[in-house]
Amino acid sequence: MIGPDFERVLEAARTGDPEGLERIYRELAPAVLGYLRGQGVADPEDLAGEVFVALVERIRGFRGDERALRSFVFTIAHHRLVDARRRERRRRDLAADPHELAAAVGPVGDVAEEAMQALGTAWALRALDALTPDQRAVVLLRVLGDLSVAEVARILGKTRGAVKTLQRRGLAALARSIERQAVSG
Amino acid sequence: MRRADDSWGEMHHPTSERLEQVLAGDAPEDEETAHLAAAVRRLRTGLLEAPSEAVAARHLAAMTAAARAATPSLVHRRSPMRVLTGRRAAVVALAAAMTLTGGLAWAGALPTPAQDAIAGVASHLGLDLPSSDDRAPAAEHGAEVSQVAQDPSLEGCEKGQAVAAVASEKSEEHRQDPAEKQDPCTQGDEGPGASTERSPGPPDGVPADPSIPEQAPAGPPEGVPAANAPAAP
Repeated sequence: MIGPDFERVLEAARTGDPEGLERIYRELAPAVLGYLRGQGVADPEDLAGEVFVALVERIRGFRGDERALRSFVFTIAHHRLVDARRRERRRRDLAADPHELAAAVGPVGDVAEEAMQALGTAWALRALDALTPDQRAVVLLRVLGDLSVAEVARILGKTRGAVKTLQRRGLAALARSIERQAVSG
Repeated sequence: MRRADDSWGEMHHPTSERLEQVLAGDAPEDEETAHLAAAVRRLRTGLLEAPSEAVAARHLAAMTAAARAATPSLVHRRSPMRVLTGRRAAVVALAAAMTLTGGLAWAGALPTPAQDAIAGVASHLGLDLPSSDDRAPAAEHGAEVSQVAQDPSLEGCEKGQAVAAVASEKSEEHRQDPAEKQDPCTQGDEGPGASTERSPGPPDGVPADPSIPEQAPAGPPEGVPAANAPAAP
């Protein structure tokens, strides 16, 4: 959280002040990058860069508090994701497969390393792959974006009830994944 | 002990409030929420990662460049559409003014404020219309002529000559040879019947000065009203 400095930081960012822009970037970049990575984007870092450039272009028109800015940034991120998916489909490119990405994490050395990886990116990508696209979007926006049900509903264009249902099913699927791992371990 | 095919969603039904607590990371760890809380933690651990410094530097450079590109366009630059609109408005205003004033603006004959306003608009379009500044000398000149004409200390031929002299000052500035004028008041007293409206040329029977170019008579012949005088050839 930027906290009490938020108004000053936002005003600085509006004028193009590099320090203000960097404060906002450092605060939100990990979550945006995580959201795009969790969605299986082929090049999440490039797309995250597009998201923040788009934020700079629109920040003059933004009004609201820190929480609203967070929601604003994830709205941009989600729209960029949808655009990127359309582009990928048009080009008949191979969309990033979470399984392939998980495999690309690297070979597993020993038990400790295996346990760490299970807790890391590979597990997350595998677990998310078991969800439907809508469930994945809701879970990621709620868990990584730290957004409310209402904010997620607005970003995805769904009702609150639909978001709650998707959230419950998505989280249940993730819990089952942990449960299976515990049983098999 | 749970079976291997135990389905978490079928066994546990946490309330919405409980789910919110789990997502916020402050739910009490119990059997119902343990796996759920673990899943949320692992998602965050696995995916929430700050970009590398190289990536962050690249992103921040792009953001700064975007901010620089956005700032002048909003503050300083005037869009071509706005320039076009302003020019079009000027053309419309001038056309309307010209229509309403019937060309008086071109002659510089409008009242001073209107003339100045129209001259200002026209100057934006590269047109040169007279303004009040251009008219000021003419107005002063008229006042001078009027003052001499009303001067009670002058009479007869002298008064006529004085008025004519002041009135023709402007044209004499453009005349090539003003020194060759003759003073009709010094060419003999023709008595009380002599008209000051007569031509300033030589009297009948006196040969004209060859150095003065021959000109048509300036006034009508004697006894012919000026209004009916034939037009000069």
